[in-house]
Parts: sequence; C-alpha cells; structure tokens
Amino acid sequence: MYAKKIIVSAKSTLTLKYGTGFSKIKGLFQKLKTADKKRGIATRIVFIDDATSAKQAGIKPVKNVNARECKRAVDDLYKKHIPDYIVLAGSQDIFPFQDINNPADADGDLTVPSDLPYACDAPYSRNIQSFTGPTRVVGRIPDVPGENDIQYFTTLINNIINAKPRKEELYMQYFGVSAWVWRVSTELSLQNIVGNHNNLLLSPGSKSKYTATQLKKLTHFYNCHGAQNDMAFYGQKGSNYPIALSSTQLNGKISEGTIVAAECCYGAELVNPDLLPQPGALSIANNYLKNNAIAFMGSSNIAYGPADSQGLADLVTQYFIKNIIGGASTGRALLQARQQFLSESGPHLDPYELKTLAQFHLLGDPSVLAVIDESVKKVVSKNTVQNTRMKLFNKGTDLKKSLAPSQKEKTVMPSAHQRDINTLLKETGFTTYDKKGLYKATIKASTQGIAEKKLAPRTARFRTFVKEISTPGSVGFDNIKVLVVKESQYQLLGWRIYERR
Amino acid sequence: MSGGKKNTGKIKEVQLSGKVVMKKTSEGSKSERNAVLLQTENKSYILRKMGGNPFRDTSLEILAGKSITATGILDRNLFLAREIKETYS
Repeated sequence: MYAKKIIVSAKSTLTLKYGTGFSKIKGLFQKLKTADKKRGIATRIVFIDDATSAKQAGIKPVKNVNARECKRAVDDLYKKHIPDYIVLAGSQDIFPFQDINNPADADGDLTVPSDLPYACDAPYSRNIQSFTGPTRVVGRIPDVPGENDIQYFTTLINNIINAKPRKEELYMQYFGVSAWVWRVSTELSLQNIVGNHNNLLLSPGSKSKYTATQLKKLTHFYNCHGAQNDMAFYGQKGSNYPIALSSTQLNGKISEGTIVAAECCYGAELVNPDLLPQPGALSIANNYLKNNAIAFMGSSNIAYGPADSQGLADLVTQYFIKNIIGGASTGRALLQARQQFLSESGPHLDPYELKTLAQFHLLGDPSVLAVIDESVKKVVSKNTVQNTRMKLFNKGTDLKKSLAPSQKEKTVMPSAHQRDINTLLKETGFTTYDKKGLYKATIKASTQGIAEKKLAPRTARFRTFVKEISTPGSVGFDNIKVLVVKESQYQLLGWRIYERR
Repeated sequence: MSGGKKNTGKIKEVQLSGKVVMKKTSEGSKSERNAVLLQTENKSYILRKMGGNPFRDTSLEILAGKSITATGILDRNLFLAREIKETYS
C-alpha cells in the first residue's frame, strides 16, 4: 500500500513571485511526485487557490491566501485524504505561517509564526491552547522569502529526490556548537542523543573557523544565541558574544543528507535577504538547505531553555534528532518530538512550554528518511506507515484531552504561599520587582477524591518572574531569564529557570 | 548567486530621526537594564546596525544621548540602520 503525501501550495502567490516561472515550479513538484512514486509514496499536488486543482482534490478553493483560509484548506485536505505527509511548499510569502498569540508575551514577541496548527485537527485559532494535540506529519519546503530564485527551489527538490537513507552510525557523528554559558545543558543533550559530548565545540573557546571535516558530519546541533533578521549564531561567555557560526561558512561544506537542529532564538527564521548585511547571503536555515542539508529544525522567534539542565528547546530538538536516528522520517520525527515534549511537560503546561511547542518547525520534506531502519532489514519488526500514523493520531488525541494548557490571568493575585515564594526569589536572585505574570491551567476531568486532589491537582497556577539583564558592555540586548513557579491550592509544586537562547 | 533571480519583496529603506537612548526598565530592581533605542517623535525602536553584533556593539553605545538621522530598514520593532549621521541642533 502506498503512503500518501500532499504537496500544498498557492498558485496566486507563486505566480506573483515567479511570474511565468510558475510553470517551472509546477514542473519541479511533478518531478518530485514521479520520484515519490518510485519510493512507494502516492503524491498529490494541490494549489488551494486554483479552482481546478482544488476541485480535483475535493476541496473548496480559497479566495485569499491568508492564514485562516490556508488552515481551512489544509484541514479539508486532511479530512478528505488522510495523508501520511503534508508538505507546505514555499516560504511565508507563498504559504503563510499561522500566527499564534505569544503565550509568553513578556519577552516582546507579539506572535509566534508557527506551522503547528497545520499539524492539528483543531480549527483555525490564534490561541495555542487549541493546538496541544498534534496528530499530523507536516514539513515545509521553503524558498527564499522575497526572492524568485527558481534555482534555489530546484536544488531543494533535487536534494529531496536524491536523498537516500544511510547507516545509523553515520548520524551518530556530529558537529555540535554551544554557547559557553550553556555547555552543561548542551553536553546533556548530546549525551542523550549520541551517548557522548566529546566533540562539542564551545563559543567562545573553540576555533570558529570550522574545518571541512567538522562540517561534513551528518548531524548538526546548535545551542547558541540567535537574533532577528540575522545570518549568524552567537556564543557567550560573560559579556563576550562572538559569532559562533556565520551562514556563509556553510557554503560548499555541508554533506548531502545533513540534518540540523538549532535551539537558537530565530534559528529557523526565513529572512528576506534584503534584511541581511551581506549581498547574496541567506539566513542560516535557508543556506543549510541550499548546501544540501535535508532537514532543518529550529525556532521562528525567541526560544528558551535552562542553562545547566534540560527543558524546553533542549528537549524538542534532541527528541527530533533522536527520532530521525531511530529511523523515523523527518516529519514523523517532528510529530513524535512534539508529542514526547508534551508528555514530558504535562499535564499542566506553562506559557514557555506552550511557546516552545508552537515555535519549532521543520524545514524540509517530511517524508524523507535519513537513516535506514535496521529492524526492517533484519526482519525483526515492520510497521506500515498507516499503523504508525494511527498510533500517533491516537496519541495526539489523548494528549489534547489530558493536557491543561495555561492561560494568562488578567490580574496577578497574591499567592497563598507568598512566604515560600519570597524565599525562593531570594535564593534564585529574582525579586518581586521583576515583571510578573500569573497563569492558570485546569485539567478537564471527572470529580476527584481528597487524596487525588492533593496528589494530582486539577488546577495549577504558574507564576512567572521575568528578569531582563543588561550584561556590562552589552548594548541593546534583552538577555532574558525567567523564573516559573508552579503552585497548587496546597503548596508550591516546583520551579524552573529558563534563559533566552 | 544564481542567474535571473530578482528580489520580489524589495524592502524600502526609510529615514528616521530621533534621539538614541539607553532606556532603563524595571528601575530600582535588580532587573534594571539598558536597551539602545531610537526614540522618534512617534515611537521607539530597537536600534541595530546592519551587520552589527546584535548582542554587543560599542559603536552604538557612544551615540547614547545624541540626536541622529539614520537610513535603514524597519522590520516590526527593529530598525536596522545602514547609515547613521549625528545631527546637531
């Protein structure tokens, strides 16, 4: 039985950008469809704003290529065909991201550009609370925002067509770079992914002029700073923020089949090259794919994680890489990573967990298999794509029912445990002057007994204290640290400190 | 560079005039911080030099308190300045 894939795009935005080149783009999709058939995938190409194409796919065409209409069209396509893979073709100026209201809005990001809603059954909404049950495998094949570079699209499609799964051990060799201040956290991530952190490079600390041998490794992992409209990642030690990677360093040095996960703020932002300082340069994500990487997973805006332990961006990125190495397609690796992240974080989800869920996306064809599934080769086990999807669908549905995403309270009421909180603030270096927020998360469930109420409280509250730090010598940089305190009616349940990546 | 590509979403440069300020927030607390902003008549923007380090740029720091006219690109609340000139009143 064939696996099913739908390539979704929009004719009007492609035509506006590429003019007569639209027919070449269509030809590229057709070429991919033909190649997919040879690897057991039945692919359908749908231009959701083209009456004929939409009708052939059995959906109502969209009148305007906007977030609401695109979400409706993807939902209709999903219900009609139950595809195993959904490909969004084009950058945000071809097929929009869904703008989610930022649940952690104290950081200045008004919205979170996201592909998560396309992976969920819930209808269009700007509230992240609707999207805590991802069930679909989704990835985006981007072009360059603001540029009609058909050659770029051609390179990406050819790389997808030529992609071949490789041995697992090749992906256990990695190129990893961490900001010096987050080395402990990154060491833990790499330990979890490949079982060692021997080759971790630190910034500052290691030579940032990387060798071809270092860059040709197939797994790339970053835990660095990143900035809006930029083409570099940055390290940090004290007030020193050196460039850890510049996009142009990648040119000609990346191996076919490379997979990348970046925890950095704006790590997967797709930037119009007009906004970049160097003529002809591309954002890091765009350039990795141009230089033959097969999957890039990262964040669309300000991301978070702890400095010395594991949480948020650390988790979702390492799950993604681990799943690929375990034999999942890149798209399934992301869906599973999102579900694993939700299972680990729940049942009550704080605003930073919700933001993390929304902001990480996959750039690349989600049906690509990077690693050979050895269990199939050894005739140990076999799961059809359909069986895997059924399991993931059920898992996503269960998560949606069981999780309690937090929502911001209008006023920050004092805590019943203020004395404990004051002690905690003192211990962690935060103060009551820091920007405060209060969030409430309630699990929908049947009536509870007294013991259950105490052991598994239905309602939890999250108090956030946001500290914006100016490191001496640093200018214009919002280095953000957040203390998140979880409390029930009876006690403080725990606390975490996150840092902006 | 590949042949024949054009920028289809050309972003227009704008000129902004205003005062460079290091704005203190959360005054009196430990979270007091300085952010470099360009304060125009209507609005404040985070100021960054095109190609400058977003996390540390001492060439911006020395402009604090001065009036400038800058040409560059505005994207949301970020002003990426290509050229900065001090203005004297």
